[in-house]
Amino acid sequence: MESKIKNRRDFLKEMGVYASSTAFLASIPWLDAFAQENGKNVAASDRVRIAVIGVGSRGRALLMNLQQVENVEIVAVCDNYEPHYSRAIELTDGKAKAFYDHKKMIDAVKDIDAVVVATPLHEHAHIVVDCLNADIHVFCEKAMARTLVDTKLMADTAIAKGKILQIGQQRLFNPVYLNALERVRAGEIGQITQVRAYWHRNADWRRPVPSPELERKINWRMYNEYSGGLMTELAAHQVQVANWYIDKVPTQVMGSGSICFWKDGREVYDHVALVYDYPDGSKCTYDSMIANKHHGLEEQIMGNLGTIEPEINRIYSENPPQAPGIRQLVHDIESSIFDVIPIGGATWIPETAVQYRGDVIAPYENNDSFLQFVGFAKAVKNNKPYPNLLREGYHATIAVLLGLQAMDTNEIVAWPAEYVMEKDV
Amino acid sequence: MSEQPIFNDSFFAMGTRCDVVFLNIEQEFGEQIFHLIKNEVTHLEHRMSRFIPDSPLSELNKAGKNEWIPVTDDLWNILTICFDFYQMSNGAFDITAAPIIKLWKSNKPPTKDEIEKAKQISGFDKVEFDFENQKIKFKTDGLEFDLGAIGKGLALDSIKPIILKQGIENGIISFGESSILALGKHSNGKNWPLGIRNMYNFNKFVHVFSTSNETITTSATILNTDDGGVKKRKHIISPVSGLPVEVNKAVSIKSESATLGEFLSTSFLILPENDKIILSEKLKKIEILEVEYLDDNNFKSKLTIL
Repeated sequence: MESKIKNRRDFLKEMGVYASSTAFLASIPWLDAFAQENGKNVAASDRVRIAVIGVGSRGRALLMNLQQVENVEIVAVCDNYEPHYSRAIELTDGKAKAFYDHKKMIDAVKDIDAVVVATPLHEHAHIVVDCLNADIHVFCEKAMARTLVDTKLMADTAIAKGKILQIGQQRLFNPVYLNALERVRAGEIGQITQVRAYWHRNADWRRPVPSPELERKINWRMYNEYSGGLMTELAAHQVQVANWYIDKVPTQVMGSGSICFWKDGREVYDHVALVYDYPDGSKCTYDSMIANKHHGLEEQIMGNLGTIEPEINRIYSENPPQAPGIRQLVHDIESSIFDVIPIGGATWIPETAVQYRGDVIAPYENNDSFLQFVGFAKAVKNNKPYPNLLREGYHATIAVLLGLQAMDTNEIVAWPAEYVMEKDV
Repeated sequence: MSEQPIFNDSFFAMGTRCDVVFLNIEQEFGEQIFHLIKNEVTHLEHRMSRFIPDSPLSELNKAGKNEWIPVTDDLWNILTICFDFYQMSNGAFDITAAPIIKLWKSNKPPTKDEIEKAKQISGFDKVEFDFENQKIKFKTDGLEFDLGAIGKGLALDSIKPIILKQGIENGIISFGESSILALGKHSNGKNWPLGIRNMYNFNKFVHVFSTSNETITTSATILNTDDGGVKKRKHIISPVSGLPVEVNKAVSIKSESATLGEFLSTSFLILPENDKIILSEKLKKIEILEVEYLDDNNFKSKLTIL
């Protein structure tokens, strides 16, 4: 049977599609670190010992991805909800020690290198801070936290302790996004003036509840106390992409949110529309709803020379190659030349003509959730955070929380200076 | 540089690229007209394509044997025109020939039996028209219409009145440089000189059509590849014999109607000389350029002006 374990070599192979530009690699330090590692052998004993806290639907998926990463050992699992606790034990064949309380886990399992936190959003901050203070590296699902203060506290703690705090923005490790980013930086789509991002679903977003008293625990995403709804769960992914490609921190955000369709007692918006402004005048327009899925999700990155749609792996030119005869015709007229217009040449071959549906950005198997863990395991092994990686996750969370604030107050919200994280040199 | 504003844009439809060039027009107005053209072509494609599963043509193609199917006005007009073309060409132009054409797309030549079987489920003579009630009936199972041979011509003929209505006088609309509408005049005030390339000598022309408010359509059994090389194809099949046209030949038609041009360029590749003469007797204001490419890198051409 073929091993399901993937290794760093697979990752590098996928990364190989864009590793041409030194300047680009320098702008993506977490990949630069990979490149430097290429060719080194890892001793079998040199394992990364990881614990998973929160093994709900996302946590389960993360756990299963982690199990595929070479030289990673799941040493402990933790969940305070019995069915998930039992499931975590089952998933790890009883080999991982199981806990209901993360503090007891930290005390009991002394040699944990890192934790993966995938609890409900409002639980992130105190668990992450506890782990960082115990000198444990952390991978935390996005968004970082429910409040601005908690988000900053998490980032400040990681920086102060010199520990890794990697946020689950997996597009940062996705070969399609990375290849597209290189092409953006090389000027292929010109100046980005707008990122139009959206995520549309058609479902109530509820999970089945075994008994009524568990409603708020199971359906935590419906309640403001625990969740920012569509903003923290979906927008965080896509606004991160906008910030990353535009390569700036927004200056302000305006927006409008409503409970438009699912009037079932939920507190979080089921429909949001926002505009983020950037210092150079570019914008990210964002909308999300859960009453129509026709358009699905996308981040349309629009420059004056082209457009990138990374979710469907497509790049489009504003000026796709022209048929040669027509190209000559336009040139001749512009140059006041009156010449024969050649037709019936190469381009008219009906068999080779294609629909212009853009070009594929990069061949890619969709496994960025796995790739982010390959990157995380590598960083943990090196005991060193990747420069600027936390910054991406941090600004994504600050952006969605400020967006919520704009919608809640119906006011334009400026990005406070104290929430800007400067780039590492 | 010319001071005349030129509008130039393109879009992809009908399996090729449609280039639009307008002379003496402001950019913004050009964009408006461009969108009208694009919408019209997209609309046509969605109605007439057999590759779009829910297009009216696809729906029609799903009909079983001996079932009377009502046909929408636009599709009815096209099908009846194609039926006229079928009769005029003695079956050389047949939009039901897909099963035979498909046989020759495989790497292995089909057997006689396979050709006979394909002929049994194709042929416009197996379609019955109820002209009074605008319905059709297939006399056999497996029959289907394919408007690929005429689609770009239909599109150009549909676009032309739309553009003229908007006051556009001079320009070029080109589908992959094989189906071209030349409106009005070139910027120097003369007719558009559209040159048919010599496939053996890419930079020379076998003929230059002087064109104004007319279309040029080309069909061929020999093609130039993207690098300027020559490729011979067996993709023009006679629906009557079920065999490909073996001669290396290209036919270009100048006519007011691109739909008619598409019909003639295909038919003149397939028909024997006598049938071409009979067909020509029914035509007016048409120029037919037939070019045969010989094995010694030479060609012989014949221009018929009707």
